[in-house]
Amino acid sequence: MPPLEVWEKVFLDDAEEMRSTHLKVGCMICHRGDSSTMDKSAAHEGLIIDPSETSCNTCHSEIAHNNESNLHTTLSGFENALLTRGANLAAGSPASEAFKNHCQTCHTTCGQCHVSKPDAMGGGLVSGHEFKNPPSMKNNCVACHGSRVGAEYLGTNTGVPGDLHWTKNGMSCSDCHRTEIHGAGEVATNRYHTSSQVECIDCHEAVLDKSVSNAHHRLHTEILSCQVCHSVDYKGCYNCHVEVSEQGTCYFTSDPSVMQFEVGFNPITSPERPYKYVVLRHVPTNPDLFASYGANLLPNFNALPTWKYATPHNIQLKTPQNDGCNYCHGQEQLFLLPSDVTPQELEANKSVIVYELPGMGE
Amino acid sequence: MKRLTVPIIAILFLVAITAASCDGDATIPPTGEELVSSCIDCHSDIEVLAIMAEPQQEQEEPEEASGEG
Repeated sequence: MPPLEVWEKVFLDDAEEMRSTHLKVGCMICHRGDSSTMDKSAAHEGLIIDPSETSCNTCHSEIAHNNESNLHTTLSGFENALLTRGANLAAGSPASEAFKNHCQTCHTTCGQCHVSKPDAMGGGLVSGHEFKNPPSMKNNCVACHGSRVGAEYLGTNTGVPGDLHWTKNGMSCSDCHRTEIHGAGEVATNRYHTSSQVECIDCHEAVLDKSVSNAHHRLHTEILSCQVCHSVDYKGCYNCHVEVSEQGTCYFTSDPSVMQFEVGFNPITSPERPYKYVVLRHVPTNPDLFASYGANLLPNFNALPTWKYATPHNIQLKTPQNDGCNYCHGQEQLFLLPSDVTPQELEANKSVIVYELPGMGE
Repeated sequence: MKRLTVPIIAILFLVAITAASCDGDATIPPTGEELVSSCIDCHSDIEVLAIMAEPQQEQEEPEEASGEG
């Protein structure tokens, strides 16, 4: 979707929609302002552009309550990672300023999923003032989650097929990610530690039934995440640096993305994710991420790996590594070896690096 | 029978009113009251919006969609 002119962002081209449930109550109930005047300044006095926080809970109280602690709202995953790496996020601290300027701008609201594009992606009404439920995959989900998950799912990475859930069945994000998108009313440490997360076996439950599943599943489902066998190359990112221009614009730079496929040890073992081996994606963080705000703002950087648990969204039935036993066992290029990690990051990733390839009996 | 008709109609009327409203917000105006308003008049006319728009400040666009995903 090309960038919209400022007036296009607030254009109501849906006269029919004006009679929907939401808009029957009129504009001012949510947006305030003064609808009785034709003077522009007076009409916009006290205007609330995005009334998500003040209005949605009037009718959607349960969802609104859960959403208050939702990862999309709190970005607690980012915050927790920075705290673990030693960042001081106390109000007014340099790391706090960096977090506010560069990370928190990406959070979203009810309206920025269901009515308009997210502010971080330019904003603007998606389809008049229509309330989209589920949200538009292209204008909302992929608007933010586009460079990695979106590209994988839709198959826009050169030479890499899209996810078969999309290419064969045309499934949208919301076909898997349903109410869990609104959170479970708890602050999660990251997106893999929520009590409402999506799992492949929600649909593919027979895989765990040893009386009907195939030999590969019987042997591997307890030690390999599904993606180890069923995903293909995905994008990894490196060397993000955040800065503020002389004009006060917050921006970031990073190295070009790299296509990769690396199997390593599971860094977040839990009852829901008990696997020994998982696929790992390099994330753009680095010790100098916030260097423009001050020196050594992530003093405990090595407390977390830079190769993170990944769930690439490019699932295939047949992949190069699941074509037979020897297409995975003994294949060094599939595993995250010490030689795949820069010397500066060896310490941070020592818990996920595979120092000895798994044997057939493992 | 006639004595029952009035209370039944009253009950049905109250049920209909309750079902059509949200829970507990007494500030909601009567349906449609605001539809004839300056909000809709201006925001449904693209030419008016373009004329009335204030110049947009120059902003650097994000290099690419990013986020955690």
